Amino acid sequence: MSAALPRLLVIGNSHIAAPRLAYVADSARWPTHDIDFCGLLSGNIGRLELRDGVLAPTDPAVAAEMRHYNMVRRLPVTGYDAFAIVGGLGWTGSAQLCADHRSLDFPSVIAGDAGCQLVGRRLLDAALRQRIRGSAALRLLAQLRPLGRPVLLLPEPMPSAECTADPDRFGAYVDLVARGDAPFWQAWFCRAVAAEAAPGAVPLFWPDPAREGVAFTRADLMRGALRLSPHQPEPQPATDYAHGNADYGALVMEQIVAALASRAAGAGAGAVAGAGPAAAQG
Amino acid sequence: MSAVMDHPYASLPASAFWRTAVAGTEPDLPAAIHAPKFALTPDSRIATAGSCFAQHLGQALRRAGLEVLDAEPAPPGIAPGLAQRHGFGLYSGRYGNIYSVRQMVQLLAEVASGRPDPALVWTRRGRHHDALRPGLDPEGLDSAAEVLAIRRRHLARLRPMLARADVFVFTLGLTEAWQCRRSGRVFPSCPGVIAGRFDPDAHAFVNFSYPQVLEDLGRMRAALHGFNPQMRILLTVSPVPLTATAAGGHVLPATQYSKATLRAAAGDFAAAHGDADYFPAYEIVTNPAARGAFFADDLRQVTPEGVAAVMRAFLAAHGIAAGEGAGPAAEASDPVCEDAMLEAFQR
Repeated sequence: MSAALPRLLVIGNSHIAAPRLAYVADSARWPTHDIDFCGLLSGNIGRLELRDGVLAPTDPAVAAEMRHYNMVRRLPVTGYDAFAIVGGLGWTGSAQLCADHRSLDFPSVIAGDAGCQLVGRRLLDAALRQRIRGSAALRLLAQLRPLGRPVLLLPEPMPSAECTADPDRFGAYVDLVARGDAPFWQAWFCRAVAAEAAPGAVPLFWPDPAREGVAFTRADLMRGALRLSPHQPEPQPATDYAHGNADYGALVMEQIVAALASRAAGAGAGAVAGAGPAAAQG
Repeated sequence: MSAVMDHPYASLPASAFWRTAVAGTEPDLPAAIHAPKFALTPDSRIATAGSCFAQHLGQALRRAGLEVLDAEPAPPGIAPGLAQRHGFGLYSGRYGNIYSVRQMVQLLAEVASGRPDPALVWTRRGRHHDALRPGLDPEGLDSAAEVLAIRRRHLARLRPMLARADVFVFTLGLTEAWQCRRSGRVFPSCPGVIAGRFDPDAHAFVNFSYPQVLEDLGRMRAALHGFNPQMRILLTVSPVPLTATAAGGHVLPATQYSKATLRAAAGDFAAAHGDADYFPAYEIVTNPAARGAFFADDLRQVTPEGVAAVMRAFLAAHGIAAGEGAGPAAEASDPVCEDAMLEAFQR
């Protein structure tokens, strides 16, 4: 009986389109929860405010967007047993931080790269953590934290390797991969996210089956991705290399549900952290 | 019949007379206070360095739309406060405050050689600091090797910046300094204040005299021309008083000695070289007509209005539209000053 099921809110930016599509296509695949979705564009999930148990937009533009995409003006959230924040962590953009500023332990520096600025580890870590704290996902987390419910944080997908076709947008990321720093920086990013998410929230990083190498998502899990759209399916442009499709979304749904099941089984937050296969990468 | 005396004062402009130029003039825009020897233009590539007051100048020049070079820009998107605490955006490189001309001369020599002195690493609570910019990484670095590697890279990035600079704006700050007895190196802060350990056998106090400052200015000019023979030099003197004096007397006369020495040396040096100029920022801020209003409550730091008065006069003298550069900074921030740390030790 569905009324007895725990309620889950999946909330995020345009990247919730993928899990929502997967769920709409086959909701019976995830029968353990009643699941609602709420999406806003770009960083606007960070412009919601918790007031008396209700998530409310902080300005008229976000309010209009809330109505347009979710058909509600405000979202009561006290009835949810768990939350999953999807997207808004800014992994891809974090490559800009170390594009020209690296510490001695970066693989590229060890290999002899003499062109970058050398800086201390603590500066880079402080800058990365500040960036993560300011991300839309963490700002939303700050609103949800007082509710005391489990919160899962899932980053937007890594881009597909086809993103090399868009150097204006992905230049720093492609360079991060090309110079061999991606695994090192990704581990650093994951540690920083986990540290900033604690206490009360657990990050679930990219699903292993979606990975192409360390730093890309399989292109077949991105082609055919749809925009966050209230009514008609609207495909992402062919030049979009950042959004997952419904198959990717299904992998995300599996991560979320598995993590919550692990928690419900009494394994606690530590087990939730390990529930996603990729979580250990952090 | 009135007798008109014929003497040199009879034909002097109003700016030459105290009553009209100072007592009878608003302090925030002293007319004709500076006639530049060479013009700065929007195309001029400017490098800045000096004591902490120079941070205000560099930021104001940027706000005015002038090209202030930056050999070591901050990571994109980093918060301004974090960037500033780590020495980004203060000057044309992350060299931190350079209080004395001798310190500048030594930095330029180090840039030319590309070899930092391995002895100049200080420690504090197990962390490692660059003795020549000890406040740069407030939490210190992991190892002495890391300090030296970062410094080598720092020096390498300064060289091309200096070669590109058309104008070097240098603010003289202090005559008092502490130096290494072995190498003669002067430090921006006394060992033991931020990091390191004070050792009277290893460290000596020095209070540079007028001849020494003048000689160092000549060495600085020669070193700068080694990077770019066409580079011109614009000198200012910081109006910010000493936080503390180690010369053995009262801090007020010690400050006046320091500023008078620097002012005289800078003026004489500029008068002696066609490619050097002196801009009276010190005089604008300390102008009695301001009645102290250009100093903050601590009577040391310069207020945003004081900086704005300096920049208005500077830009007007160079015929540059003021833009935002001559207004008080929207978010005025205290400059990063190692010498202010000395206040923690006062009794």
